[in-house]
Order: sequence, then C-alpha cells, then structure tokens
Amino acid sequence: MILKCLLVGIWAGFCGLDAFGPQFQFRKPLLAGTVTGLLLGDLRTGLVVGGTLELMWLGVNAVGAYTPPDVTTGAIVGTAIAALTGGDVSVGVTAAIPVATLMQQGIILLKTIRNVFNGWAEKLAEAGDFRKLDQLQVYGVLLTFFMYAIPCFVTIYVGSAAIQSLLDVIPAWILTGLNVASKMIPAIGLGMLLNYMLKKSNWQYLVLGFAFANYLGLNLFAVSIIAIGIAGMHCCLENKEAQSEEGGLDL
Amino acid sequence: MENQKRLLTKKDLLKMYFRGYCFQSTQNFERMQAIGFLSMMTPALEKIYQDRPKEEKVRAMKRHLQFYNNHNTMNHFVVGLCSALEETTDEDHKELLTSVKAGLMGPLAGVGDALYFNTFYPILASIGATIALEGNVLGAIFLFLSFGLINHGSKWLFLKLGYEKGMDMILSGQGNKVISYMTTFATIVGLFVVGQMITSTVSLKVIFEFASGEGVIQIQSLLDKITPKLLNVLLVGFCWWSIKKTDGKCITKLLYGLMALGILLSYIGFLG
Repeated sequence: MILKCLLVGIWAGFCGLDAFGPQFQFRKPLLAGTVTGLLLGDLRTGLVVGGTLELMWLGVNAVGAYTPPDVTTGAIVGTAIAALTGGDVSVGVTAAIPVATLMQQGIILLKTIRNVFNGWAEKLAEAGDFRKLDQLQVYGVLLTFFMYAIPCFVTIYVGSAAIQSLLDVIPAWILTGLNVASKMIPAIGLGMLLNYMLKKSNWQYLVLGFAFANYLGLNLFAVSIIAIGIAGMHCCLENKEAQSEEGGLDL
Repeated sequence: MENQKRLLTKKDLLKMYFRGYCFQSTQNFERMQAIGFLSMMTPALEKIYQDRPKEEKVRAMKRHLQFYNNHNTMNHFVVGLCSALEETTDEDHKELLTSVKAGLMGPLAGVGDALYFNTFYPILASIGATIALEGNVLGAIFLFLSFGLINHGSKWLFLKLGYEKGMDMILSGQGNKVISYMTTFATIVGLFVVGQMITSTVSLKVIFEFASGEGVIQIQSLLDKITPKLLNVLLVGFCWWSIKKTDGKCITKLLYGLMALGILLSYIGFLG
C-alpha cells in the first residue's frame, strides 16, 4: 500500500513539473488519471475517472496571473481513491473536486514562496556568471516536485477525510490573506517594467492602455492590437519627418 | 554567407529548447517567468557575451530578470528573437530588449491561450476522453501524441523562426534604423500592455462597509465612482515611484511589505 501511494506521489511530482515546464499535458486529468490507474493496477478506472474529469474540467486554464483549481492533483487523488475503493467513478469525482480547490491555494502558496528566488537571482547576477543562475531552476524544480508529490501521497495514504480535519485546524484568514496579497504583488513587477520603459515623452500610451482596458473593458489581446496600430502610426509619422530632413527608412 | 554572421548554431537553439522544459519552475507572483526566461537565454548569452567585460554580463542578466509573463509555447518565439537582438545590438541599444519583451508578451500570450489551450487542446482532449471513457487506452495515447507533437513542434519552430527571422531583419541593411524604430514601436506597445495589466494582473477590492443612517456605505463603490481600479493605479504608481526613488533597492522590502499588508488588511476585513 505505502509503496503504491509513494509511486502515485512521485507521478504527481512529475505532473507538477509538466505543468510548469514542457506542458506535454500529462498533468491534465486524462493522462494524469490514466497513469495513476496504471500504477495502482486498475487502468480501466484510471481511464474512466480521468476521462470524466477531463471533460468536466476542459475549460479550466491558467490565463495570465489567474491560478485556477488544480486539476492535476484533483485527477490523481480522485482516480487513486476510486481505484483503491473499488472503481466507482462518482467516488473519484467527488474526491477530486475538493482536492483541486484546496490545491489551488497550494499553488498560490507555491508561487508566493518562489518570490524569494527573485532577490536571490539579483544577487547571483552580480557575479556576471550566467550558469550560476541554473541552481535556482534546480531548486524551483525540486520545490515544485514536492509541492505536488507530498500532498498527493499524504491524501491518498491517510484518505481525504483526515485531510479535511487537518484543514479545519488551519485558520481561514491565513489562506484568504495570502490570496489577497498574491493579487497585489504583481504591482511590483509592473512598477519595475514602468521604471524601464516610462519616459517623459511616452506616458500618454500608458494612459491609453489603461483607459481602453478600464473604461471599454478590453482584454489584453484587444489592447495589444490597438497598440500595434497606434505604434505603427507613431513610427510612420516619425519616419516621414525624418525622411524630409535627412532621408528616413523606407517602410 | 549569411550563416557566417550568425553566432548561434542549431545546437545552441536545441539547448535553449530543452531548457524550456523547466521554464516556469520558478514562476512567481512578483516577476512571473523572469528567471525561467533568463535561464532559457543562457546558452545564447554565454556565447554572445563570451569576450565582453563582466559589467556587461551583469547588466544582461539583470535586464532579463525583469517582469515577464507569456504563454509557455509562444514564449519560444520571444526567446529566439531576443537572442538575435542580443547578438546584434550594442550596449547603448539594449533597452530595446525590455521593450520588445513587454510588447510581445501581451499579444503572444493572447494568441497562445486561444490557439493551444482553447482550440487544439480541447478538441484533442475531448476526442481522447471520449475514447478513454469506453476503457480504451488508445484515447490517452492519442491525446499525448497528438498534442505533444503540435505543442512541441510549434515550440521548436517558433524558437528557430524568432532567431533566424530576427537576424534576417536586422542584418538586412539599415540595421541601426530598424533597431531604433523597433525600440519606439515596442515601447509604445509595451506601455499599452502594462496599462492594461494594471487593470487585470493586479486586483484589489475593499469589502469594508459601514452603516450610515439607514443605508450601508460601501467604500469600494465610492471609489468606483471616482474611477474603477483606482486602487490598482495607486498601488502600481506607488511601486513604480519607490523603485525609481531607491533605484530598485527597495524591491525585497516592497514584496514583504505588500504580503504583510495584504494579510493584515484582509484579516481586519478591509480587503477581500
């Protein structure tokens, strides 16, 4: 039993790496569940629970900075519990949903912990050795692996009921607070970008981008398309002036 | 003949492709995929900066540690293009890199999500899942092979395309002027993108309200009457201002400060 749980935990770790790396998409329910079933000697349950969850969660994707429910751990734990309790699909689906919702918090936590890598990377950059940075990627991989492997292993081993009682002990305000903070932190990254790009002569484009998004409700893609048009106009006009003065570029 | 001018070989590009396998393993809220991006650029940067002084290497590393968030697949195009730009620009024109990255991440992420996550994957996955529901393992194998091929074929192609087309464009003669216009163009698009992201990547909502007479006054709706997303603007503005004032030294303090502030304000029921 413990060996099987360990195997599934390791598989979950690799699925986590897939999610943050190559994206072969074996982190998605169908493949994650199928292999989990295979590892537990019940391929059929793996296929059916994985397939059901795949169709159920087809539209769940991380877009931009949004962190969606974690379908990976949901599918793995759901399949494992279904396979270990006799192959009932509904048992698997019922177990999968709370796990995915909880792990959504886990991923937010993971991305918050990883913030420490930024300061570290800045320090490593001082040495001017590109290879030195690689260690951070290695730590990132290990952290991600265990962040997926351990919860899956523990949940399957002790059962999801025990997890629920453990979760009741963690005060809700920590999770909510972390969630609120994680949505404020991207402001630092944007502030840094502005620090590089914003000049006295080009602030109006920032204002326009904000206005299009805020008052017309356009998404990032729509705003980018408008931006390409306006940037093209700007460059054409600038080039025309240059052409009449000193011979600009043939656009 | 043109190949002589090119520093990076197919082998270097291949190394960069495989580094893409860990692209997001350090992804975080503050700068998203910045470290992963620099790590993918490493084979190119090592070759390009081989004989350059240490300060330039340090600057190159810091340059690519800026906030960056793109679609996992489309990112390969940016990596390829940035390698070409790093190879051909001199030290005075390096700000182009930051602008190009900021300008491209918006549109490319949009296309990538629409194409790979919302078109290719759902179609292939629903076929695969339907076959799998009958207990047939071919459904899973089909999904793995078909999506893997499309996704990874695209990645390699984008990386190659970005580098080679980028080099062609810059080496086509009026190199300096192309670079100067690209900088202007990319900065404008980049600023639009940041303007949009102020409303979408950052999110703050005041849930605090108090009773006044017979009604309830919600702070958030008062703020929205001035302008929606006012707090987002103030927060990003504050971050920008303090980074500028301290020349980037306050970033770590900002990070922990914001985390503490977020948890505190949510605990007292002000933000939610």
